[in-house]
Amino acid sequence: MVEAVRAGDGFRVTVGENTYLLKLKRGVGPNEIVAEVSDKPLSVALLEANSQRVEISLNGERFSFQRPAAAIASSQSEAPVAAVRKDVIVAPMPGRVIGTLVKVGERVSAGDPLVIIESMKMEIAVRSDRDGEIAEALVSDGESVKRGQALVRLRS
Amino acid sequence: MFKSVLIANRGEIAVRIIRTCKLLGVKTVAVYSDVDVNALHVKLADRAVRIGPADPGDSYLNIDRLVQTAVDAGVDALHPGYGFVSENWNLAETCRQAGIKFIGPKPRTLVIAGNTVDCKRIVRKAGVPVIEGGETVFYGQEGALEAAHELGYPVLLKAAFGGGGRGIREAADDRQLLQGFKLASSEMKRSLGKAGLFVEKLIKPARHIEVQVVSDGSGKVIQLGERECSIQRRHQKLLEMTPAPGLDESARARVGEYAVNIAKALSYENIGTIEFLMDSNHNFYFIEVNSRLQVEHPVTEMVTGLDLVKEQLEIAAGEGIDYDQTDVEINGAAMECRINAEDPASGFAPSSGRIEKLFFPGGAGVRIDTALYPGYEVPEYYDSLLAKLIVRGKDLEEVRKRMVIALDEFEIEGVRTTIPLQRFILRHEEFSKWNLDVLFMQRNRIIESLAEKLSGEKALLAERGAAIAAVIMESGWTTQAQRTSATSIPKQAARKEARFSDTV
Repeated sequence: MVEAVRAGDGFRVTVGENTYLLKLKRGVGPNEIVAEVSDKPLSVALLEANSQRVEISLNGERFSFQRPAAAIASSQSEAPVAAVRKDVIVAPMPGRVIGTLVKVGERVSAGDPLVIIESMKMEIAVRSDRDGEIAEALVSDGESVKRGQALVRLRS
Repeated sequence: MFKSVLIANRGEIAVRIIRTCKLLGVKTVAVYSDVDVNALHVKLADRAVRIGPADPGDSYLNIDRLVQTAVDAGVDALHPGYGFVSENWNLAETCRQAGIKFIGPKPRTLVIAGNTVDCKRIVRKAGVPVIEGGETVFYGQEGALEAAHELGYPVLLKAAFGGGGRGIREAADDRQLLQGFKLASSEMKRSLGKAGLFVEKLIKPARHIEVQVVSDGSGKVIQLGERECSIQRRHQKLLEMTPAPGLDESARARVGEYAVNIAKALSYENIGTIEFLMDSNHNFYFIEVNSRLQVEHPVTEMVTGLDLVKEQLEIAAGEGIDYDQTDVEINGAAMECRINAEDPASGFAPSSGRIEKLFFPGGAGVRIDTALYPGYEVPEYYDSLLAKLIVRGKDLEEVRKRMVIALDEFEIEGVRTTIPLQRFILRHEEFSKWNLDVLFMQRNRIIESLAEKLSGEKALLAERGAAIAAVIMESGWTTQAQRTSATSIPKQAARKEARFSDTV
C-alpha cells in the first residue's frame, strides 16, 4: 500500500513500513525528473505517465505502477508474448538456436533444458518452467530468434 | 613502415589498432558485417569494406574473404586483432601467399602454438616445466582412466578441441572421472561434432600468471613482466593486473626467463603471451602460448609506457626492436576490468541491445578502451566485451582504490553489465588482501553473495520507485509528446521464462 500526502512543498509518502519525504523537480531531458529523496537526488526517466499508470526507469531498472497503488507491479521483467501465451517457452534473449534437446511427445520436468541458444558467443540452455509434454517445436536448429519468441509449445 | 593495413576485426580492438596506425601515419581499412555498419571502427578507419552478413562464419571468420578484401584494397599488411581467426595459421599462410604481411607470428609458429601436445614437447625440451599429462587425446574412457591412474588424482579433464575454457572438469576419483568424461564428450559432440579429451595433473590451488614477450624473430626476445589473471569466471578472465601480488623477485625473474626461453625455442616473431599456472610454492607450469595481441595488453602498456600495437607493426615491418631487456622499466602497477554485456543478477545471461546512457569514468591514471557510444546497438552475434577499464597507480593498493572509484562512476544503461560484479570483487576483503587464485570466485561465493546484494538493492529501489510513482500521479505529471526513450529502451530478458545455465 502506498500513500502520498502533501507536506510543505513536497509529499510525505508511505510505502509499506517506510516513509519518504519526496520532492519532484524537472530534470535535464524532456521526460526526466529529479526526485529529492533522503540524502541524494535520484534521476528518474519518465517512460509513461498518466493518472492511472506510471512507468519509470531508475538507475537503468524499469518499474511500472498502477492505480490503486496497492497493485504495485514489481520490477519489470517484460515478456509480452509469454504473458499472453502461457503454453509456450520463449527465448530470453535474441540469438541463434544451436540445439533442440527435446522431441514432440516427450515428457519434461521444470528445470529441464529444452533448447540451446547461442548469443554473444555464449551457449544458453532455455529450460522448462513447469512439468509437461512437448506439444510442438516452434523453431529449428540454425534459426535466428528474437527476444520473447516462442521456442516450444507445452501441454500439461 | 606500411602504407596501409587492413584490420580483420571489430569492436574495441579494431578501434585500438586504428589509433596506433594513425599515430604511425598508416592508412587503415576496416571490415564490417551487416550489423556493424554503424560500428565505431567503421567510423574511425580511413576506409571500410563490407565483408558479409552478421554471422561471424560468413564475415569475420571468413579467411578467404578477409584476404581477398585486403588484396582488393591494396594494403601492405593485415592485423588480425584477437579472437576470430587471429591465431589461425591458415590466415597467416593465406596472407603470405597473397603477398600481404600478416601482423603476427609466422604460420609455422601458429601451427605449433595451436597444438598443445607439440607445443608442450618443445617447451619441455627448452627446460621449462609443463603440467604432467595432457599429451594424448583420449576418445574413450578406458584410456583416460589409465592415464589418471598413472598421473594420480586429482586430475583435470580438458577438451582437446574448441578451447575457450569449455569442457574443463576436475576429477578426484574414478567415479568423477568417468562421469566427467561422459558429460564433457557429449558437450563437445553437440557444439563441435567431435569429442576428445586430455587428462592432466591438477594443480590446486593455482594462480594464472602470464608473461608478455616481444620478439623480432631473429633471436632477440624481450619480456615485459607478468600479469596476474586468476580472477576468472567460466575460465574466462574478468580482471588482470600487474605486478602479480606476493611474487618475490626470484620467482618473477624465473618466470620471465621461462617465457624468453619458450619464445626462443619457438623462433617466435612479433608479440605474444606465455601462460603459466603457479602453485602455492611459486613453481610455474607452462599452459599455452597466446600468439596474438591479448585483450589485457593495456595492463602491460600502462607500466612499461610501450604501445604494444606499435611494437607489432614495427616488428612486422622489419624495423626490429630498438631497445634491450635492460632498457625495460616497469613503473608502478596497473589493473584492467573487462566490462562485459552480461547480467550478473541473472546467471550472467548475455545482454544485447541499445546503449541508452553512457558515462565514462575519468581522472588521473584512468584509461578506457571501448567501441561504445550512446545509441550504439550491441549486437548478439559477437563476444560480450563492451569496454576495458584500465587504471594505473604507484602500487596495487592505489590501483585497487582508483579502480573502485572508476567503477562507481561508470554508467552504462540499456544493457546489463558486469560492472556490479567488479565493484563487488574489488571491495571484497579477500581481494584487498590479495588472496587470489583461480578458485577465488567459488571459494568466496562471489556470485551468490552478489545476487543477494543486488536483489536487496533492487527491492529498495522498487520501494523508492513506488514512492516516486505515487507523487508523479498525485502531482499530475504526464509524459511529454516525444516518447523516444520509452520506445527505445530495450525490454529486459524474460527472466521468469527461463533459467540460465553455464553448464552447456
